[in-house]
Amino acid sequence: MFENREAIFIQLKDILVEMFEVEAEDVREDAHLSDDLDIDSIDAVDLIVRLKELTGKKIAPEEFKNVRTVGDVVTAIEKVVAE
Amino acid sequence: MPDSPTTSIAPAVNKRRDHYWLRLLATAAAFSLFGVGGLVLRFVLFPPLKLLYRDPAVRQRKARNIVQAGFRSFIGFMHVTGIYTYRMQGEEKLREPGRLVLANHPSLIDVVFLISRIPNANCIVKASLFRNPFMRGAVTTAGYIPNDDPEKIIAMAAESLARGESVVLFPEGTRTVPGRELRLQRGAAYMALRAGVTPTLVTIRCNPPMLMKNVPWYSIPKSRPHFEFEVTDGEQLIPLKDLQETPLAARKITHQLKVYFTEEHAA
Repeated sequence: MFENREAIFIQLKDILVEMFEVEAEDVREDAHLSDDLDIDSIDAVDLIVRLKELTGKKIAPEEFKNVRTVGDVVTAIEKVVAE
Repeated sequence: MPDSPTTSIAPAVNKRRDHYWLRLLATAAAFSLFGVGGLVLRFVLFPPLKLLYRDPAVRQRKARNIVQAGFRSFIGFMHVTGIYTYRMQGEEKLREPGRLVLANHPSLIDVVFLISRIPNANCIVKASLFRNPFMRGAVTTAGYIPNDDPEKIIAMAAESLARGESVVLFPEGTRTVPGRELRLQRGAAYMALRAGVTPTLVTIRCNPPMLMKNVPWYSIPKSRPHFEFEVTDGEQLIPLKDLQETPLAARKITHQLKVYFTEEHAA
């Protein structure tokens, strides 16, 4: 499910569409979370909770501290899964 | 309330009128008074509270009463010196406990108006005020909520509402920029959802605008501004029933708030 970058991206896109009703076509690696997708820091907390459930791993909020774009989230998940 | 309401929009004036220079002088006095008031609270009125009331909750309540009285006098000062006229509609709603008071934010003194009418009011204030020597004493003793961490703000506001305090918040997070589409943050919606409290909505109109964002204090309007405050129960407009605290519910409520304040402002 989280085997490679592409798979993670597809999963993440589904989650973002489902949780925040963003348009699927707006979710690109370079899309900015707050500017392009209107996802704020409170949403980010909910997103992290959801990712914890899905990955079954502990995710420290610090790992998402410097996340700005969808691509950054994918990279952060990659790291978490690899741990 | 002694004032002379003008409901129609004042004609554009280019000439300085309504005692312009007196208003400017009074505005300078008001700013100084506000700073002095902050220091008086911090060094004169609040220290004895620490000795008199051991229970922090009681002390906080007393401090808020003092702030409310101070703000009431301050609003009165600016009124009698002719800085503005004003009218409040439905202000009795603000006196009921446990209200989540949401307002648009045209001017610097909106919060002063609102708190002057709300007993035991809590509010979300700029975190920098907790380091400001004039304001620090007041905001800490009154137990206001610093606006640094969104999750903490929501949790603290919800707890405050559960204790029966009223919470004042400007959902825009900053002063309204006239002519620009309203941008609301979703914190207000989360507070309503978490506390299960239907918001009380206050529409604030100020015409001509004064003490706007990015306008220095001495740049006062050419004619005397009139403030209107309209307090509305959100029951019909923002139904919370059956809503869980989810990002989608928060978006829905935020959208309803945006529609309300946009329409009200155009009205």
